[in-house]
Amino acid sequence: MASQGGDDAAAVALVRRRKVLIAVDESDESIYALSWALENLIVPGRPNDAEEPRVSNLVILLHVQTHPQVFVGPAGPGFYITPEIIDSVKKHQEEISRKVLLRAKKLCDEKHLETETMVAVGDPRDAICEAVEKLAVDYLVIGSHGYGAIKRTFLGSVSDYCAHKAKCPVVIVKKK
Amino acid sequence: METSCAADHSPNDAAERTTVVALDQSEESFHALQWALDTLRFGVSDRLVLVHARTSPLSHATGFGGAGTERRFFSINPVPAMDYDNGYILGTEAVISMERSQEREINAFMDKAMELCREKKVKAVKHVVYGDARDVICEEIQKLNANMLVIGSHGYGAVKRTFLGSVSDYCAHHVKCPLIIVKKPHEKSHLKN
Repeated sequence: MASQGGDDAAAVALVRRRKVLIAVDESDESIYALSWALENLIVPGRPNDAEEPRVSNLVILLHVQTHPQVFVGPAGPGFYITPEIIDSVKKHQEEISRKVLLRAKKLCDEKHLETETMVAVGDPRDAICEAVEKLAVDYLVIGSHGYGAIKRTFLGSVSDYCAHKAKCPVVIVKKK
Repeated sequence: METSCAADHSPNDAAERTTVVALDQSEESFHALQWALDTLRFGVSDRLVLVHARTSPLSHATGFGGAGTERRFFSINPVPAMDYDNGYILGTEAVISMERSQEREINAFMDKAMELCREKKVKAVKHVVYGDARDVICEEIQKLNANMLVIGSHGYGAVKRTFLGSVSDYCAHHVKCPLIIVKKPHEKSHLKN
């Protein structure tokens, strides 16, 4: 049976439901971002706010698959993509999504949170911002690869893009 | 009987967490503070540090405030204060009175912010520091070993950001702790608040 955070719906009237979108991928930074968010932002049932109207959290885990583009050089396609290759890439991506979302969902289940998983295809930047709008989330959590040791900055490009474009508050968790 | 905090190791009762909230007089930063108070959970051992970066009124007078302004400390001498950059001569009294009026403004909105925190029963302290917002925020986070930063964003487009500079952008790149960038929504469409 899937564990639910809203098991006390009968007892206490739930005033509102907060939707949190957490973008995940295969990286360690991403899983760290998820566990940090679960620990620090979505902490369920804190004992010191008995007066606060009950808020239930819905965590939506999003994985974005990027499918390879066909590269067409000046002398024609670099190599020919056959339907078999496309299928095999798709299958591989599905497998990755499955693993990533499973790992993420496990962390959420440990905290007994209501969780949904979602897969999108395309550029992660746009896919995440679109999901934010379509699902009307309350806020977005995203990790940051922070490749920037040379430029002395610590922010990845996807998180940078989403920080500006997403139409909701954005939580950026840098790698530890 | 003495209560020992170390006995209970549940993660929610961990050591005191410090959240820095960057404030200026804009609606956006107050919106960010309100959002944090409404959405985030603060335990009894957590505290908010409301940070405001204050530019010297001299730079306002010469219209040279903002990026690159270093901290200026005023000494109260009977000698007229000179702004060597632009050739202005300002008497000490003028400077002091500008300082005072700026202080009044700052105290006004910082107290409003403290009141918001009090309403939500969240411990908060004010830190008003001279300097450019970008540097002040990053330094305070380091000094306080902050766990998190909450900062509003004006939502400038890419071009404006390049010319005017963006504090939230800068902080997003340079702070090492997790940060939350809160934009003020333009449309009231789907926000349930």
